[in-house]
Amino acid sequence: MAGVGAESIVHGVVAAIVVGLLLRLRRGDPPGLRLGFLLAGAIVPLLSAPIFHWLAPGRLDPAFRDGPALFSASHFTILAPAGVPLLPVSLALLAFAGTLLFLRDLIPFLWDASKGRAHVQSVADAGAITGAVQRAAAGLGMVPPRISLQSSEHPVLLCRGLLRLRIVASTAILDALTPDELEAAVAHEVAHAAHRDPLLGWGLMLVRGLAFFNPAVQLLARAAVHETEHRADRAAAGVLGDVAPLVSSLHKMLAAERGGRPARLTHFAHRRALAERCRALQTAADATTTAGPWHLMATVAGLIALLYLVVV
Amino acid sequence: MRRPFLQIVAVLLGAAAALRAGDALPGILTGVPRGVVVCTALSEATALTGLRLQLPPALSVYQPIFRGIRATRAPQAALAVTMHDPTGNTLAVFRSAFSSIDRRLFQPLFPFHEIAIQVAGRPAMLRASNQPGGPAVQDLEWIANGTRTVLRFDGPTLELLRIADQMARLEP
Repeated sequence: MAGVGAESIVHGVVAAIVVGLLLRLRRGDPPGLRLGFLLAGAIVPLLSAPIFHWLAPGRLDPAFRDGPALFSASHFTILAPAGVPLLPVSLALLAFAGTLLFLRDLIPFLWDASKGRAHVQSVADAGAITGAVQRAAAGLGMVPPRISLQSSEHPVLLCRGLLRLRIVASTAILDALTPDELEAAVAHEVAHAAHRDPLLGWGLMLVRGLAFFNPAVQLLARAAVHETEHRADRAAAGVLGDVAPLVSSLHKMLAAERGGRPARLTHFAHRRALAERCRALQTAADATTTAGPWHLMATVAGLIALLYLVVV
Repeated sequence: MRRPFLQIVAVLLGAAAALRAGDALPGILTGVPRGVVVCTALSEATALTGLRLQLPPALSVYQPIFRGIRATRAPQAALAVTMHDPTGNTLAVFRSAFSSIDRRLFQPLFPFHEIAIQVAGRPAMLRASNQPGGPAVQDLEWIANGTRTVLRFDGPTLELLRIADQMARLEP
């Protein structure tokens, strides 16, 4: 079992490097496809190690490690600087880092989910938001999701629900944003609903829970969540035909989040992600050759072949 | 269509090359080639290879050097023990059940002198060679019961012959 876990960590690192390099090379690809690459990078190493151990136990043979294998972590057992065995210590540190990354996001995720369930109150007269949701849903070709309005002094606008999706907004958001900005922000959340991103978020948290010890899977899953934001931004910009109100609403949300609260690490990361989204929206995609699903499938196949030759 | 495919292939091939280079890193840092197992005791090496090796009393003053006991697994099972005596002479014992000893353990040298001799009544070859950048060494090689043994020594020839004779006599 420990061997499978260790191999999963090594596979995760390899997958993260491959996917990271490809995404750097293919910056102009659509967010949906980039999300596919990130999901592949997170899920393949989670499955590859146990499946290879089960289907191909011969990979653990010394003859395979010293022969066809591209990389065998067991070769590092010989390295013990100052008497410290490098391999087990490195793997333990990576597992510790993975667990910290998982807990760092799990706790706010569960807190957020429980808080949202407790305070949501459905209202029939959500005013300007209802109209914005209906227009965005029409633009995205979907049935408008339900709307829930919270009375809160903090501006909140998000998409919730696994199967029955709804847009949750706070009364403060109506005061914080201009009608154009509200339209854009709502279109963004409706785009999340159109892609069923809350369900994807839970799925990603499940993947992260299964690979809680794997830092690469944690980082790829986090990057996938960010990519869903980019995808929703692009979809919203497509519906509106303009990115300016969306960027403006993001800036306002950013400023509202800053409003006198202590600068915690999670807030810093969140602010950085928002700033990155504004930058991405303002930078026009200039891909001359866009990758497609076939390229994603080729990458997954190549990654599986590569990971087959990586053993612990 | 082609460019993304080329990029994917390039990244995967680059990752494969980087993994292979990374795998070679411990070997480069420690001088132990890939596939060679460093053993903590001679018994571990003999158990790993299935080869018998008994060191004679003449070698009691010799101490294995750090990472000096090495072996390669089947199908090219072989073992090597590198030792120093108190005067600084280096003796390496190589053993294999094959016609040649795995190159990862034993680097053949081009001999400048070669002579057929007998070791404990068995035919043997004594070769003298220059090591690149090192002292001249003598290789004494014989086969007994289908097992090839080579002693590589940088000390006096008489000492080598004495050790070889004792070793050969220990073999059944």
